[in-house]
Amino acid sequence: MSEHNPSDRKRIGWIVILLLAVLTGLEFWLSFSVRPVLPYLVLTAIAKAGLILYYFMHVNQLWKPGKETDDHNEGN
Amino acid sequence: MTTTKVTELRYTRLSINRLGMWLFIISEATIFAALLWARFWLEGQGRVAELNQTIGLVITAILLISSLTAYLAEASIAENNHAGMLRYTLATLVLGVIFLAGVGIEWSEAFEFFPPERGFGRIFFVMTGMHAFHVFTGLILLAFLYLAGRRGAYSADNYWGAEAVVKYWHFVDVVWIFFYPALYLLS
Repeated sequence: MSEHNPSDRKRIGWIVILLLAVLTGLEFWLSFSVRPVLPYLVLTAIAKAGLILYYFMHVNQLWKPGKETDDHNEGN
Repeated sequence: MTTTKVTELRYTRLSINRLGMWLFIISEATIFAALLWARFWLEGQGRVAELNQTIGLVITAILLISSLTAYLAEASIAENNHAGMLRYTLATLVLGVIFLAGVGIEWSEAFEFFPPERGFGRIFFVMTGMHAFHVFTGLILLAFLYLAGRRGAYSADNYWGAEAVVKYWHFVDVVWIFFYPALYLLS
């Protein structure tokens, strides 16, 4: 978790949660407004999962190991 | 030369830890993928009208917010902010408990309208039950994280334990991101 400085990290967290809230509201609205709704729900779910996987879970660390991204030790 | 070699080994170990954690997450994800498949295989795209949409939306919001607090807990310890880490870990714990309480309330209604012996109830209770079990284990891990954090077990140079627990919590949230629309929003 070292690509960004502390204030950036917090800002990223808040932006991501805002996007998640918007997408959740959108899928809730779609479920009562659109038929068939399944394709749209799949898209919103993938978008939400992608946001969490990339920004919260840092999945990109898997293929970018190295000092620039790993500035903390292995755990004990 | 020796220092460089030791440094390289330390970074490699963290990468291995992370890879192991992701492999574990992927293995758990296959269980939920199978349940998601079973939902559509058994019940198609239908849902029951008696589902409490308000509870579904509220607990979804709570779980998403808990992902933010978990992220902030990890971000805090990455800056050596122990108080922040403890505060956000506790917040995540509380939100997780509230989520489980909401699931319990939903179940109490669901037992009346679509019991687990047949129809939509079969898949609803298995999916939400399996997810709730993982939320519960996540809460246990968060509790350990909090207690270890209070003992000063983590620092900006060493917080793999915190990172792993937070990753697990985010995984639990990602599962619900797919389960929620599959159970509540289809028709």
